[in-house]
Amino acid sequence: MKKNIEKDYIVIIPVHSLSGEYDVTLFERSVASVPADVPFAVIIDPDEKSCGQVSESLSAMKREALMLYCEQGKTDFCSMVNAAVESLPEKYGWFSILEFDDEYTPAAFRCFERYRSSMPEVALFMPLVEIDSFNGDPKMGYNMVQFSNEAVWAAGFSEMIGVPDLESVKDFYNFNMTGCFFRRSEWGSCGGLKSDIPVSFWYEFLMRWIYRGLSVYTMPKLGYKHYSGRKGSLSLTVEEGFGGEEVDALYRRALDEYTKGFSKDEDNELKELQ
Amino acid sequence: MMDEEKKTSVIERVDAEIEKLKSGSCTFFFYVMDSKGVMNDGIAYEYEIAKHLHDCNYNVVMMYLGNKEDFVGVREWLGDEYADLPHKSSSEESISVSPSDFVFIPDAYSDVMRDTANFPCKRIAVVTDYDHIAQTVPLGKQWGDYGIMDAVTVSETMKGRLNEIFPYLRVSVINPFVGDEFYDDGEPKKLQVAILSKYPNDVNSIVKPFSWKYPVYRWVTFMDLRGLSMEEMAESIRESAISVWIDDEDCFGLRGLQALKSGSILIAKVPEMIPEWMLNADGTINDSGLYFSRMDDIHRVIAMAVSSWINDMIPEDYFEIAGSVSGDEKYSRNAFAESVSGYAKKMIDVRIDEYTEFKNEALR
Repeated sequence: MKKNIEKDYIVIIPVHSLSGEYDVTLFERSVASVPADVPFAVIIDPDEKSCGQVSESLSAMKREALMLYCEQGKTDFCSMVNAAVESLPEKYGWFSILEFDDEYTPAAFRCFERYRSSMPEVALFMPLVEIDSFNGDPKMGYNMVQFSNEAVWAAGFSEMIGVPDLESVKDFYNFNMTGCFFRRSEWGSCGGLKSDIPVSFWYEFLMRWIYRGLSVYTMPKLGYKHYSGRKGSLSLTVEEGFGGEEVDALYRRALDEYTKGFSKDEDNELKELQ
Repeated sequence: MMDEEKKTSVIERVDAEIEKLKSGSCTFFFYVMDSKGVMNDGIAYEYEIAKHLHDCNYNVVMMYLGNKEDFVGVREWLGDEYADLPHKSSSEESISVSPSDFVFIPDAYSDVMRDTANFPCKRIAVVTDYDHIAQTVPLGKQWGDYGIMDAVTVSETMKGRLNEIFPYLRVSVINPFVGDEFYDDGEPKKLQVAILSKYPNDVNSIVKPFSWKYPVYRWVTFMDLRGLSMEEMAESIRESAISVWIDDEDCFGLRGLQALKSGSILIAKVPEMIPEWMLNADGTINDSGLYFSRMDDIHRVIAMAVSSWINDMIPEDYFEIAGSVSGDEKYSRNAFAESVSGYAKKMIDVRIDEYTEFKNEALR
């Protein structure tokens, strides 16, 4: 199989477990959305029965992946992502996260390359995301619910169109960070995902990223399709297990984490550096 | 038959005028409407002709009706080079026009055509808006009655229409040009839709129903470019992924060409007088933009364009076609300059011939 050595970016697919044929089909669909010339890594719990399934699927698809294994007990999404990023070979200066039941659009990677070459100063490229909902059809019928990340392109949302800023994101949660392209160096300096923040960890991460003055740009191109409502998925768990007010509370907690928690320490750090 | 003294005097005067024509020291007067600081393609067209003649060292005077203190002019949207051309109020200042001079009168100024009928010089109509003619010339009158036998206009199509109503009119075509401020810088475009229209009603008719019909795209930004200077407008169009141009009255379509040159996807309602650049050789509408004829269709077309654009599915050859249409040499500044210089020279030569013939007649 062809070794993907040309690209300096890689896709990371965290797989907690593939339970059943449905999940396997989703996983294979996700992998199929990664172009053949784009390298990808799968991070999985080594104790999981799904390890074998993943290998089988990849073999059947004639795709090669960098297999990564998370530590025992650290199988939550945040820990798996952080571990994967840490484990990546040096040559990958950029990465993107693909949830195993989501997919990239055909234009995702060429748009990323195009925007990255025009905006070398940007360290985080967010695509427009289509949020689709499974409608229960075993053949994975779905319907589009809404866009995500699109709000920054609305006039007056943020100071600079296409660029989320602190003021605009403080009261707005509809961002989807999977499918985004991160530069590793800035991810490292930002500190990765916080596994002790339930549900709204990506939101807290984005707030932190912006607060630290790290550059971010929303490509006005559809790059990712996020499917919500898969049985066992975090989003469905949230929908079924939490009421609207509880979800809001979780996001406000992330906001508090940003405004009352680390940011004070960060401020001191930044002052020392200056 | 003239007595000898009078004949000599006339011949001396004629010789003097011929000399002025040959030396290029005749003056080109341009009656212009006051734009009141708002961009207007018809006014810009006259100013561009005047500026080019001025740059070729001809004498040029811009004449406006009304008071000096009320005149706003073009400084805000065309810039200082144009605003600083010599200007005079024809109402307040005395203007001396000699037989070797030329006076350009815009199509909407049929009153001026009538009132200047006794001018000794050559008068030339400047036609950029066909509708102005029927709206301003009184019933029972025509330009020939005012002694207007020459015109310049923006396209062959317009020339054809003018000769349908005034067959005696000698019409010359000087195509407008797409200015250097309009170009594609190759940078990624912003997802914004520039609206190129003169009227606020058009803006409302586009934006509001679009958000109602396609709420999934209600976040798409629309930019109303009215009131901007030429530079500002050029920058906004250049940044915009999509430009929507609405102008039923437009006779040339310069705004559409400017959008194409800027690399913005053009959506346009086909005007009553279809611009030549919008047509293939066989008279069918080309693929340089997404064109429609019913205003109700505009929202669907915009939604389609937005969807194609965000999915990065605009065909590669679209921009090639758009580029080749807008990059046509005949819409370049060079071609415009040549046309203007050529026209001025032609009119001067014609005038010299007329005076020479008159002089020969007088000498007989």
